[in-house]
Amino acid sequence: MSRTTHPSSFPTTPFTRLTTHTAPVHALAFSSGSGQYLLTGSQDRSIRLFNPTSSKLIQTYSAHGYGVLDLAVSTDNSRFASAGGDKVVFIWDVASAATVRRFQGHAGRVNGVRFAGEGDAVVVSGSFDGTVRCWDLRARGERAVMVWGEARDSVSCVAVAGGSVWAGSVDGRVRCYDLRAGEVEVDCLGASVTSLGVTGAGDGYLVSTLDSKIRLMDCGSGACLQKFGSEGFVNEEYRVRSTLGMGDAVAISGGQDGRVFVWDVLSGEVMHRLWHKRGGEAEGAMGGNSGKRDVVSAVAWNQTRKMWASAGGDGEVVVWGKGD
Amino acid sequence: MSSKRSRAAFETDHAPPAHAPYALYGTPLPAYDLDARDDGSYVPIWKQEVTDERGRKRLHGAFTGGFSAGYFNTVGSKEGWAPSTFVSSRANRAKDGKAQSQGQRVEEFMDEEDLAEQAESQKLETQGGFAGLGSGSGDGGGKGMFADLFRAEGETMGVKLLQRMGWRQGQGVGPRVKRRAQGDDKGEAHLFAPVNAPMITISRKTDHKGLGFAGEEKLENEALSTGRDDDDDDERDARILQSNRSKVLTKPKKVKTSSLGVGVLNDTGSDDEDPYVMGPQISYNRIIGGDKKKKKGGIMASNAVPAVSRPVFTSKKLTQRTATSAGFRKCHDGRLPLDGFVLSLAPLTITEENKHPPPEVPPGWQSTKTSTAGSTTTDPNSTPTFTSTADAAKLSTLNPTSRTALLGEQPLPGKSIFDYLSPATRAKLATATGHSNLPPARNERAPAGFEASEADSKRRTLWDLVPALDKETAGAALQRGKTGWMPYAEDEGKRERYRSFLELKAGLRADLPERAEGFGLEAWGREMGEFAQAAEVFKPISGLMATRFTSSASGAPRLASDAIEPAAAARVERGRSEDPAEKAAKMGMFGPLTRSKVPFYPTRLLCKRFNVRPPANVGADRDEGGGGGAEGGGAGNKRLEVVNQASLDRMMREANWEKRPVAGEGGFVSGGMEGGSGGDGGGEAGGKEEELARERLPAEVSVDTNEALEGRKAGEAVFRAIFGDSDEEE
Repeated sequence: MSRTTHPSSFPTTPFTRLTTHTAPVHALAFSSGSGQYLLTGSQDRSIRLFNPTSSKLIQTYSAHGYGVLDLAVSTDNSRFASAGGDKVVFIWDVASAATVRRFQGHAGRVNGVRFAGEGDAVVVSGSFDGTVRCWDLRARGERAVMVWGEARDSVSCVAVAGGSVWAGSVDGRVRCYDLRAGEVEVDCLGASVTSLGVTGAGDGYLVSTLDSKIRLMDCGSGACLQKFGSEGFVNEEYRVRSTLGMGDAVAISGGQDGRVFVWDVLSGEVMHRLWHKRGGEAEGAMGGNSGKRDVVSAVAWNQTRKMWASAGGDGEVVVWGKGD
Repeated sequence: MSSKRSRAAFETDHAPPAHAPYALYGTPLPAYDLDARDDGSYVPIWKQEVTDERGRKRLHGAFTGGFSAGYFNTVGSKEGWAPSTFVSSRANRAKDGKAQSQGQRVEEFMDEEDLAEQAESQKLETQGGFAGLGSGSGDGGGKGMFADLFRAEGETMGVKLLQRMGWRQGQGVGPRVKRRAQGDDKGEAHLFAPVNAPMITISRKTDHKGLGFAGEEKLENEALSTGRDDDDDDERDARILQSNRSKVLTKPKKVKTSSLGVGVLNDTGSDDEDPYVMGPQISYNRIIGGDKKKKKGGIMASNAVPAVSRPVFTSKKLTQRTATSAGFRKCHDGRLPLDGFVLSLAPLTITEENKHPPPEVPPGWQSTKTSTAGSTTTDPNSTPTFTSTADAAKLSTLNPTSRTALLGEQPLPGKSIFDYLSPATRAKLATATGHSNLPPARNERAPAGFEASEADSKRRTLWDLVPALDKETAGAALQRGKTGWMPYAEDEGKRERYRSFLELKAGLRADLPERAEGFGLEAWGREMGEFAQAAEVFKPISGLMATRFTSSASGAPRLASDAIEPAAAARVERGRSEDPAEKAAKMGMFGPLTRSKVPFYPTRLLCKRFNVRPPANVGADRDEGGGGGAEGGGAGNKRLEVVNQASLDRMMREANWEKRPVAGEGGFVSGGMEGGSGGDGGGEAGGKEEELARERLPAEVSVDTNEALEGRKAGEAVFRAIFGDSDEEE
């Protein structure tokens, strides 16, 4: 049988453009399970819930006093976590659009947040203050269960798989906190880490660094399994998120110039260069210069519906799908 | 009436005659009137109440109201009864039961009275009272307050010593006297202890009252004085001798009231003294030398004398003799004075002028021991006198140079700084220091080879412009400039000057920092001051703070919303010392070179939340769940014991990774560790792999399930085979 996740069938048609955000969008998250809804977090301090197929705005979540930098949706879709410039990790109730918990303790803006543990009992957040904090959702306490301060610089992203927590830091290292083994595996990447994504099996992770490279690393040995780069793919300045898609068959990342790059994981070749920027094709042909509005800072893949979304400095969210 | 009546009804029914319904014999008591206040009036028995001393209605009898114990005369308490010796054997095995001793304490059998008594007996007290200075025993005058603190009453060490030597209380001190017993004129003489003569205290008379008058008695002393035994009218006689005793000591025995009248309180109840009798109330001895009756049979009864010595009467005969024959008297202890001594009749007073003044110094007498300090200067040839070395040193007019000359030493070759000073400079120095005795200025030329050149002196003045800066600070700032950042990035020339300034201050070079073109002396100095401040500011953070911070490996990622910083790109570090891992990463040699492992200690709670068995370094309890991992992947059970579960896991994972189809179907097939992925193909292989992965998981401690009880859950593949359908694909 032929696998539906073959890279060749990568959806490349932008069929929806969500333009309700008035400021750069920093975070994208599809709902868990079927991925019916898309959650976007923006610098305009609001989080919005869209139906990407109908491009309808369902809900606006506003409690943040600063820009929203990361989002995470719980497995049962009843709650989601958000974090941003106000140093607080918010746990939201999706239906009532109210915050259920607020975790204070970080000393700087919170760059990344993820659900973790069995039954999403823990929220892990990484912050500008260089710490990763684990918050217990089951207990009433407001204090972090654990604080990991190994990072020597801002923690830019966190990822969770099974009993391990990955934290990428600006000091150029990815730290894997293996709870089972009780040890931290530190992988040096050489450049500031901007994005982390774990493979479905939890045995590898995709990491973006500020040297315009995206790497697929092996968890076990720390070896680099694949390196993704391209002429034209520049990421030296901005926090650009990357993700694995098509069942870990492709790697997707935005670039600084308004394009989205899609690589084949196996070969490491660039499959697609897609313009997120409105009218980018014409401009790209002219070789226009890129500003910070062009940065495609977040991408999200929806495995169930075989679609994905990209968002960036222009505040627009593009949902990509099959053309037909 | 068969139904029961209430008492009120009964009383109202029988109201008019019902005053005493129970009186069966005798005359009935008068009617009970509610309003009549009569303490002794009749109260019907049912209205009488028995209360204890606190007004509580408790039945009491006997002494303080009878036996009342426990809780409402029960052995229990409000919470019920529990024997005090009962110790729950479940909670603590009666281990303190032994300490408390099985038997009851005495206190348990005591009632309140007994307890109060016991508490009273446990009060801390001194064994004997304390007497103040000079106060006699039993005399209430000196009692109380601080006087109690001064002297312990009772047997002093002297008394004890005397008793050892055969002395008894009440006897006098000295060899025994052979005489007849007192009152016995014809009996044979026995050896008696000497008479216990009282110590005579002579105090000055300071008041203007008559001789022997001791003032009026205070009311409060009345009881004391009446309580005294009356044999001390002897003492009153003795008061003639001691007429000036202090008032504290001489409390007259009788109440000497004023003649104005007697109050109720002054009434002692004795009939024999008429308070209204006219005449002087002073009780003088009206008979001199009159024999008085003696109650005691001499000193024989001295054993019965109370332990404390009170002023005892000296025999009247003696007093008589003292009064009559002045020259021939006995001492107050009843013995003749020593041979050659005559008792003085003159009163002994302390404040009298000195009768023995120091002898007059004859006029014109000259001591040979007068101080000669003043005379040395005037007459050095006089007799050798003592002078202290300090005085001698002060007097000496020699200076070190003259001393060397005196001693014949070679003058030292060194020269004083004053030798090179000009007189004007010396004068300046003298005014500045205030010392006028500075060595003279010689205005000599500098020795050969040390002459200051013209340029040198000019440079000196230029050096004065260079601000001071710590060598360490300069070095640190320089180091920082080398490795990382240095101020004045916008002006290369200025930065160069800054660097040279730091190098100079760090001691790396000796010449003056160069001056920019067009800079005056003043501007140059100002710039150097600025450099010095900059070095203070920009030196790297030291010590603890330095470990807390680090400069970022490269530019931190910026958010799309961040403001544009044009200079951000310029902030690339150079010359930064890289650690080998980073070097390897730069070269793309990912793997063992870039990987390092640090132990960390997840909290137990976090492991529980992750549903992960805590690692060994947390100290996991290994009592259960070992079976879950035992079947994993065909690994031998023994190996599991030897190899750490986590490392085994990793080994398995790695092995699995290599096994994975790399080419062909394309892409990294997820092992399906989480959430049932890998179901896209729906194939058996995926299911098996997933099951394998599940089994590879180390033993998980689950609070909800207990495998030992529930038995093995069927693998998910089985469930999928039965219930699975195609919509599960992800």
